[in-house]
Amino acid sequence: MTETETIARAQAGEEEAWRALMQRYQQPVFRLAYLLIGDAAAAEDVAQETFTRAYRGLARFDSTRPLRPWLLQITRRTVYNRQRSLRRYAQALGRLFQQQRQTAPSAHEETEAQEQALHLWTAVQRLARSDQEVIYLRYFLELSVGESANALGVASGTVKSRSSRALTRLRQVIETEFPELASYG
Amino acid sequence: MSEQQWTQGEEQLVQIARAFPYPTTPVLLARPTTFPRQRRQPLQVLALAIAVIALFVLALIFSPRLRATVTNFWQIGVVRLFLPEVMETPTAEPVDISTPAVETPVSTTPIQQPIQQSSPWPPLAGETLLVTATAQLPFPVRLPTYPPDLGPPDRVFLQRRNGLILILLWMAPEKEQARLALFQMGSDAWISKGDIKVLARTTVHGHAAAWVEGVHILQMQGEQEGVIRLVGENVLVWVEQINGESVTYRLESDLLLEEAVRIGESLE
Repeated sequence: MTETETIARAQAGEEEAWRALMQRYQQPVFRLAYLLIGDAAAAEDVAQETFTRAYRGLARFDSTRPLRPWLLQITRRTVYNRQRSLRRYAQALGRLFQQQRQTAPSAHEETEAQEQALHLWTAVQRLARSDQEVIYLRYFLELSVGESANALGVASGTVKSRSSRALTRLRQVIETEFPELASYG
Repeated sequence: MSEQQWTQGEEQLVQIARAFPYPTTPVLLARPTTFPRQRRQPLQVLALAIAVIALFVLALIFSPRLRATVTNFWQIGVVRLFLPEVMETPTAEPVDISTPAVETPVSTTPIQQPIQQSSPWPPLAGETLLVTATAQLPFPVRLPTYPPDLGPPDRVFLQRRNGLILILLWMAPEKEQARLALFQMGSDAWISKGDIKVLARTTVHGHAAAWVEGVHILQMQGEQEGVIRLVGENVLVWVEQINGESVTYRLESDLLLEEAVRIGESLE
């Protein structure tokens, strides 16, 4: 069954079709939420809320378009809505601190590649939110320019220019704060 | 993944990012309570909407307080004027908000009740020069040419209350009170007036205008600190389209309606 057919069935109220779509896309949705928030529990809540919102809006979705960028767009908005509340944001920071101590792989468990990737993530977090978004979508989740444009709600040309600017800023951060990554680019 | 044309630097970045230790993706399907139920049928939605509207109408009919809250205000441009539940003896024709604004005749009867002294202007933020304010506003600043000896304003303030508000004050000789205050507000600004005793409709250059007599409360909110001020003067509020921009004017003075309208119509 093609994705278009699955979406059409879900739009018609077939719960199984919707479950199949959720299964297919829960990983990128959860991962983007995690990259933006840095807290697994909060990211799970966001992912769950994303799919609930998506289901409510599914009737208006054009089934000929790819679903993943649309879901990631909802994910971004859901993250922002949550972070608007200062209280929740403070809680998330607390959880992040706790999680970094408890659940992040220890130095012994990390492979060198994982450690490098975590440094890269920390470097990306130093950037402005719009720079972070484009880097997560393009290079962490490996979306195409077109898909990233859909997820960000901007034109493809804007994604290209934003990517270029974000990479320049990332290089500056890496050179000054993470020289161990400096070999990249 | 779909067709990617990475540069060498991007390729390296992707390689590093691929090793990112994401937490295990949770099984979202395991939460039955979060799965949305089947969508409501259109008829169900319609029935629900009708029920909500019916409840609201009933509440309006049986709750005078709610009715007053919902219906008792009049919007002129960016100024919202909250009307009293019971009008005091009016000296100008009270507003009937169910009729078109421009057709109501003007009353020029002087007010009978003594005007309380308005509270002095609180220290206003954003004092500036007229030329500076003019450069920042998205609409042209207009000044009254009547009375002929009025001259330029003595003090100029530019405040951000959602949108920009220009406040021009002409001070009374040897007093700290303004004898004339003219607000000029773009379409994004927002102020409100409450506890109004007397409100009448009039026109300025044929545009619908509100005339508020006597003591009332002026409230300005926005990015800057809120201002709540007891106004004892009379106020004329109207809107004009200037270069395609809707500009709301608020003229505060101790003048009577005819004079205020004349000043309003003299803006250039």
